[in-house]
Order: sequence, then structure tokens, then C-alpha cells
Amino acid sequence: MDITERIRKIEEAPEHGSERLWVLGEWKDIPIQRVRNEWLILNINNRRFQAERKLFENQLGRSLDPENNPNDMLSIESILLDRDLQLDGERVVGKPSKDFLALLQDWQHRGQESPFWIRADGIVRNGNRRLAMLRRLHREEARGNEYVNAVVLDSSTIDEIAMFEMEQREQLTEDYKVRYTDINLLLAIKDAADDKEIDWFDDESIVQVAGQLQHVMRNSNQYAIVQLYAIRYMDAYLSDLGQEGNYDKLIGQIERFRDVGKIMRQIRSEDSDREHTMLDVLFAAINAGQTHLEIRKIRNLLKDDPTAFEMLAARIADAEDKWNIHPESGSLGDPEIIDMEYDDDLEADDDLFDPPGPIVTNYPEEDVRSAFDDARDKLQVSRTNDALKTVGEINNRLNILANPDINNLAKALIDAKSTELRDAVDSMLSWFDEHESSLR
Amino acid sequence: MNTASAHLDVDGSDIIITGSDQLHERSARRFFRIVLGAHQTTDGWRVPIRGNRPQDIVVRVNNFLISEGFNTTRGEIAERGVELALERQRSIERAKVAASSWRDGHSFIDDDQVSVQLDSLGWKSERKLRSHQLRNVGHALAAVNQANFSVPGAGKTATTLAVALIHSEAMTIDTIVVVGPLASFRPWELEAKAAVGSRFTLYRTSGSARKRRDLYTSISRGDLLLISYATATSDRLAIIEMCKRINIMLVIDESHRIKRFKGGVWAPALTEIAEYARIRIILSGTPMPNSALDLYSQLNVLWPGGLLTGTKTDFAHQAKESFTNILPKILPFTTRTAKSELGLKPYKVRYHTAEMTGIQADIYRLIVHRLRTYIKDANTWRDKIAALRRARPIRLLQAATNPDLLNYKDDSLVLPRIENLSPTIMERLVRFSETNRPIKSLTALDIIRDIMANDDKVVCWSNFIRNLDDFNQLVREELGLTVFQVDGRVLAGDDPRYEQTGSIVTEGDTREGRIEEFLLFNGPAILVTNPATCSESISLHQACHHAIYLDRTYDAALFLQSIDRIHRLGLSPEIEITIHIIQASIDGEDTIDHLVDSSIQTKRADMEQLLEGAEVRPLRQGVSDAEGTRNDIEAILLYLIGEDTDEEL
Repeated sequence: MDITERIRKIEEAPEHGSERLWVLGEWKDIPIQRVRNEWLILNINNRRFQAERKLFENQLGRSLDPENNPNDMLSIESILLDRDLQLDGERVVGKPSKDFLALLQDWQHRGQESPFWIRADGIVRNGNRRLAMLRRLHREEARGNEYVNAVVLDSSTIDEIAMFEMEQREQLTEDYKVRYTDINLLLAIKDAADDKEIDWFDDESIVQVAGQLQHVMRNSNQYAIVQLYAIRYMDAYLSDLGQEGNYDKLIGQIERFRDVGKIMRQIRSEDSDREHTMLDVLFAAINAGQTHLEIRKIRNLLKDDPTAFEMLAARIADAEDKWNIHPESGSLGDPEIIDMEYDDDLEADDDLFDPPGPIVTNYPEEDVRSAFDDARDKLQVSRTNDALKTVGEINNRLNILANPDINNLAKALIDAKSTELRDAVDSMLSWFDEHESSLR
Repeated sequence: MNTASAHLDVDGSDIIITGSDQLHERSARRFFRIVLGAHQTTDGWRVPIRGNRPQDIVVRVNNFLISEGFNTTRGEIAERGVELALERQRSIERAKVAASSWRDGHSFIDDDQVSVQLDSLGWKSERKLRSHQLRNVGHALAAVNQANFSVPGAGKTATTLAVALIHSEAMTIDTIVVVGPLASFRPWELEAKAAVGSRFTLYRTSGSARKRRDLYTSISRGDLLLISYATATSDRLAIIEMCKRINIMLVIDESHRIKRFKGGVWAPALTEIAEYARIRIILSGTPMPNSALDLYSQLNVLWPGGLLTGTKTDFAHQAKESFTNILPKILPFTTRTAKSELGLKPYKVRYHTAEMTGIQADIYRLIVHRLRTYIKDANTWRDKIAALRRARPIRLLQAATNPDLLNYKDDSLVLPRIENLSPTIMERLVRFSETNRPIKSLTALDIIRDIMANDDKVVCWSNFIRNLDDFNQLVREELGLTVFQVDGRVLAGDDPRYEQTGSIVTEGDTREGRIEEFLLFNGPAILVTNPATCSESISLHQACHHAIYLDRTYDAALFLQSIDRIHRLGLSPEIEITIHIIQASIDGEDTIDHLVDSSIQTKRADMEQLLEGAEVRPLRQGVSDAEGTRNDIEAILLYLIGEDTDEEL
């Protein structure tokens, strides 16, 4: 069925009551039409799975074309309904998600609760998962409603921003609807902010646009600002690695960028001389797979001990020296999609599992992580006044190091880091020499 | 080896950087693209200034290039920007050397020379500066930009006028701009008139935005302009234009009021204005009401650009670690006169006992009983302390001051209306005000009667807003006197809430307006107020020489600061300042008022050292709040345990 025919059939579809929707700041009654689900098209540009779609398109080396390629139609269905996604030949496959099973059960129990939102050409703007579910049901079990309720939203009066606002409002109330995953929410916000002609490098512009968009972001100006700064530094990070626009590489990373954005915003206003250094440290933290909570503490490290922070930055710079000039140092690997089921809450809780960091080619992850560990350890030790506890911990560690069964010390002395190890031991011995008289 | 090189220039509203390939390596890319939001060009970067000052970006880029080892050259405009920044650094170093040398006793101008010079410039003999003031003038001339943190009432206004006169004569400055609370305007006007007559033409900034703009453009040599913090903030750009046109000496009076370390709009605006002022002076008797962090904004007005403080992060770290780390950096630019140097006649303290009887005594006993019940079940001493703190022993102060206070919630002290008393007592409490008057208020009336025999003015202090209302009414009814009341419900004229209406109020029903009315009132009058609102920034000493304290809390700093409102430099030697403290008693025994007094006496030496000593230190270091320290709570606990626990009401 071509587009002209779809448009005609939808136009002629019988009306079946009306749906009250909040559109452009007021309630409107929009006629519901009974349309056959075969007239409808899954929206390939749906922002709710933008990043995942791009990830698999990159892996396939082509765009998904569900209208003309049946395999791609199944792939889109899978992205919408399944978890543990992976590529199997030319198709994206996965296992049915809990959300899909719940949606199916609800549909079977209660039927269609609210109409699909569609454009005049049959492209579904709200209801893609339900449509995908009906298609799968029809294919696998020869059942699934042939007719569904839909409202046609005229694109000349309801533009993309208005549509985003409607989606955000509806998301607050509707059950069994796939939520924006974090990355896709940010991309949708980014579209909206770009539409407002935001200058991402101008703090005043960001705050101004946050004010204009806060009504689609929990009605919270602060929340909107956090999202916009997260986007700013997500873009900056990708640009830094020469990966502009490859948001699919950052699936699962958004909480890290929210913290990066918060810290950078504060540094820009309070300590702009250190902005560059802080950026280096935060990007290094992401590259080295530090969790978002660990990233959050970097600001405290600077506050509590600026010297220790500078030392950390210097160690990172040393570790990154070779990586910076490596010809392939910009590459970013594909993220592992562990589970596509996200929490309902758009902003992850602090105690949520942090996915692994992005995979950055040739990055000296171990050295940088060790620099962060040392800095944190130093900070923690500096906060304790308990000398006995500190010496006890040192003693424990030394004993384990010298344990003949484990033999870590002997192993380390013959590997590539033996020089650093000897330097560290020398430093320790010097400390004992210096303090010997007061220790006895 | 290929040497990194870069050329820095300004092109319209963009900063242009061209040079070798290293400009496109990761570190430079991060700095230009991500930090500055620059656009890449074939041979470098183009940085839009985005509302920043071009010289700030130029200096930042220049510092980056040098730190990264670029061999850097600069175009003419860029060179000027960098040179300007270097000159600022050199300038503070020169001032530091001169000020340190002055502090070490190597002054290029001694007190006598200052005095002679002032005389020759027309300084009035009746306002002859005291030795501490002459010393502070000398310091200001050496340090260029001065933080005068002398104690309240030390005559900082006169000192600053003398500095302004000398600078004006030397043509270093044309005009003086004083930014301060509205309450400070009148003292500036009076002092200027008394000290230099019509040498300076004074203007208050007021009226519509257009009128104010006209004023800024017409200000010229020999003028002294008074501006409130709120007006200075909203008129920032016009004031900067004025600073570009003529040489300004910027004075920030009561500078601790711009102290907010985070947020706020006054400090950023004043810092920006300060950058364009030729000379800068900040004045405060209590520069650190809370902690050393209070100094950050003030020092950035004194020497903008973090020249004295370093970055906010570094300053916060140093302040947290130890205030002594900060002191050596700021000391050369700071002067402080101790109260003992003012040669003031000591004030007299008179205690008055008010014996509670009848319902008030019963209610006081009931509150004691309730508090004892709270602590009875706590096993350990620590638990008892915690239980007592939760029970809010400030209830005792309410009962001793005015039992009717218990019938109402107190928002400022976060105290709900008292409930769960026995029905009989509740009924008596609710009806207290119908047939009774608080004994301390009645005692205060007697004191006022005595004072009014000499046709004088009195300030009456209470910490409970409702008590201010009741006492106001009582004085009017019983004595028929004119009463002015100022508390937190009356907005200060420069309160940002006024700006919500789109206009800046300089007159009308403000705190400043009411205080001025009180001072100018022809005849006896009473000012009823609370220390939280009026313990700083106002001078009452020219018209008012008696203070009555209906009640006091454990906040010794507020109490001592409130005394300074009437005990300050400028008092005639024959005038005696009297502080009347009313303490309730019950059955001839001590009450909570005596515990508070004992606590204040204990803290007094420390507090006086902080408030009145020569040393600049954060005020709240180890100081209690209104409800007391642990020692205070322990004293209350002992007082309660010592009561007769068998008594039932």
C-alpha cells in the first residue's frame, strides 16, 4: 500500500467518538477514527529508540527501512519490544522484555485504552510499541486487532516541539508505555533546544532555553538545566573523540554526563581557571569507566584538597601522553546493551547499577583508574585522625603483598612497572628514615 | 623539533588565534572548542566573546598558550589586554609593599602631615580626626584600596571622607560613589556636611530609571553619590559607563552585607563596577558575621579578579582549613581600630528585677514543670541534654517575658502555639492578655517614665515580634507616647522584594524611613525593635542614649552589637549611655533571665575580643545561637533539676 492510498484510507476512516488532548496549552477534542493497523507505519524516527536504532544501523552499515524491508520491520519490532538486543545476521533480535509481556497482558485483558496518535500519512507518533505488539501477535498467533482507534494530529498545527510536550505530559500518566530511555530523552531535549536556537557554549543561553523548555521537563528549571548541561558535555565528549553525533556510543552513560555537566557548570562560574583541567579529569574519569558517583566526588576532591586534585590531573596527563598522539585514540567501541528495560524514573537514582564506561580504543584505563583510586584513598586517609587504624591498614596491605602464597611483590618486581614499584618502595623507606626517631 | 607557535589577535568581536599544527592537538582542541566554544579555522581558532570582555578572553587564551609552551606573539589590541592584566598584578604588588611598609612603621606620610594636609584642604576643626582615624587615613593612602574593618562606631565614614578629600585634591579621583544600605545615607550626609561643608556635592540616587540615568551622566568632579546595593545592582551598566567617564573612588559601606559566597546578585554587580573604579574602599565593623567565607566577595570588590583571594575553590579550602592561612594575604590592605581606642566613656548597665506573680508566675512554673517532664525519662546526661534541646527551653523566656506569646506561633523562632496544657491552665493562658500585663513590660513603663522626665528618646529591645506589638500598644495606651516600631516585617529599602514591583523604593515605609522619623521626631519617642533586625548598620547615638532590654537570648554577639547602636564615636563626653536590663524573678528566686545573663557575662570577654578587639576574626567562631550552646543547655538542665519536682499545677 503506497502513501497516497494510506492517506486516503485514513482520511475516509469512520469516526468513533473523540479524545480529549492537551494541545498547545489547551484541551482539544480530537475525533477518534477506526483505522486498520496495516495502514499504519512504525515510526523509524521515533526518538524513544533513536540511539539504539543508530547503534544497529552502524553495525549493519546501512539504514533500517521497515517500509520496504521485512527484516528491518522485524528489527524495529525487536528494538521496541525486546531486551538483550544483538545483531543476528541482518536482523536485530532479543528476548521478550517484561514491559512487552505486561503490555500484551494488559491489552488482552482490557483492550485498547487510548487511541494511537498518528500523522495523516499513517506514521505512528504515539503507540509504536502497541502497534509492534499487535503485528507480532498477528504474525505469531494469527490474532491481534485488525482495527484500532487513532487520532490524526495535523503536522501543520502540531509541530515537533508541541508533540514532544504532549508526549511528556502523557508519559506522566500512562501505564505500560515505554519510557524515554535516558539517552533518547536527552536527544529529544536536544532537538527541542536546538529548535530554540540554543548556543551550547553560552551559559546564559542554556539557562534561558531551560526556562523555555522546563514545561516539558518536570516543570523544573533546575532539572532542565541539568539535562542541557549533560547534553552539552555529551556532545563535547563525542567531539573530543572525533565521534560527533554518534550518540549510540553513549547508551547507558548519561548519568555520568549529568554529573560532568553539573560539575563543569559550577567550575565555569566559580573557578574558571581550572575549567580546562577539570574537563581533562572528568573526561579521563569517563574513559576510565569511573561510576557517576565516583565522578561526582571529583568536585569534592578539588574542594577538599586542591593540591591533590592538581596532582591527579598531572598523573592523568602523564598516563594519557601516549594515547593522545596515538592515531586510533579517538575510536569509541559499541556499548554492550545489557538490558533495555529502564527504570521508570527518568533520572537514575544514586544507587542504580552503573553500566560499564564507554570503550575507548587504546586508552590507558588501568593507569588512569589507579590515579583516581590513589587520589580517593589519599583523601579518605586525610580525613581520619585515627593513626592506629591507618598504620593497621598499611600493615595489612604490606603483609598481603609479601605473602609467599600470593607473591604479588615478586611478580610486580619483574613486570613492566618494576621501576615505579621500586620508586614507591624507596619513598616508603625514606619516610621510615625520616620519622624513625619519633617512632621509637 | 617543531616549536609550537601561536599568534593572538582581536578581530571585531572575535579573538583570533593562528599558528602551528599543535593548535589542533587534543589539549588545545579541548580548550578552544569545549571550554571557549571556538570555531576551528584552517590555521587556528576563532573565539566569539559571547558577552564577555575581550581582554578577559585574551588573557585567558594567552595564559593557556604560554602554559602549553606555545611561542606566543600578540597583535596590538591583544597586547594591550595582556599588558593591562600584568599591570593589575604589578599594581597589587606595589600596593602590598607600600601597605606592608606602612604597617611596619615606615610611612611616607605621618599622622601630623595628614592632619595638616586636611586642615589646608578645609577639613572642619569641629570634626578633627582622632589619632586612630589619622592612622587609618595614612594606611588608606599607602594601600590604595583599603578594607577598613574598624569596630562599629569608630568613625569610618569620617576617615573615608578624609581619604576622599586628599585623593580629590591630588586629582587621583573626581567623584566618590558610596554604595551602602539606605540607613547609611543620612550619616554620610551629616558627616560630609560636618567635616567638609560644601566641598562635596551630595546626591542620593532615587527616582525612575530615566532620572537615575540622567544623574549618572551629569555627575562630575566634586560630587558624592549615594547608591543603595539594589540600585547599584540594577544600574550596573550605567554606573560602569560613569566610571569610564570620570575617576571614581568606590566605597562599599557595611560591605559584609554583600557577603554571600554563593548566589546573590549584589556581589557580582559590585565586583564588576569595582573593576572600573580608580580607588576602592570597603567598610565594615563586622566583616565576617558567619565565617571567613564572608570575606570572599568583599575582597573581590577590593581587588577584583581574585587578585587577593585566588579562585573561589582555593579560598573556600583555605578558609575551611584555617583562617590564619588567609590573614597574611589580606592583612596589608586591612585596618582595624579596636573599641578601646575610641576613648568612649563606658556605658552604664542597670539591672531591674520584675517579680512575677499571679497567672504569669503560674504559667512560668508550668513551663518549668513541662521541661522537667521531658528530661525525666532520659537516662543519661547526654540524653537529658538532647531531650531538653528538643523541648525548646526558649519557652521559659517567652513565659518570663510575656505569657501571651505562648498563645501564638512564632515564625522567626519556629515555635508553634503551645498546646496540650491542662484545660484550666489553657483557659487562663488564652485569657491572659484580657486582664493581665507582663510584669517586665510594666517595669519597662516605669523606666520609660523616669527617662521621659528629661524629654529623651529610648530604644526598647525584645526578641519576640509579638511582644514588640504588645509593648508598642501598651506604651501608647499607658504613656501616650509616640512609638516607632521596626522589625523583620518592615522591609529594608534595598530589599530585593521591592524590586519585584519594578521600581526601587528609597522612601516610604521602610526600616530606614521609620528610624529616621524616630531620630528626627521633635520630642520624646520610643523605638521598639528586635536585635535580629536592628543590631547593625544603624546609628541612634546622636538622639538616643537609653536602651531597655525586655528580654535577651543567648546570642551574646547580637546583644553587644545592639548596644553599639547608641554607644559609638561622636558622643559628647558629658552624655551618659545607660543600658537597662529587666530580669524576671519568681518567689524572689532567679529565672531563665538570670541564666541568660550569666551566659552572656561568660561569653562577653570572648565576644568583645571578636567584636571590639583589634584582630579581624570570624564572628561566629564558637559562638552560640539564640537558644544556647551545650554549656547553656547544661546550665538550664541544672536549674530545672534543682527545682522542687513535687510541685504540681
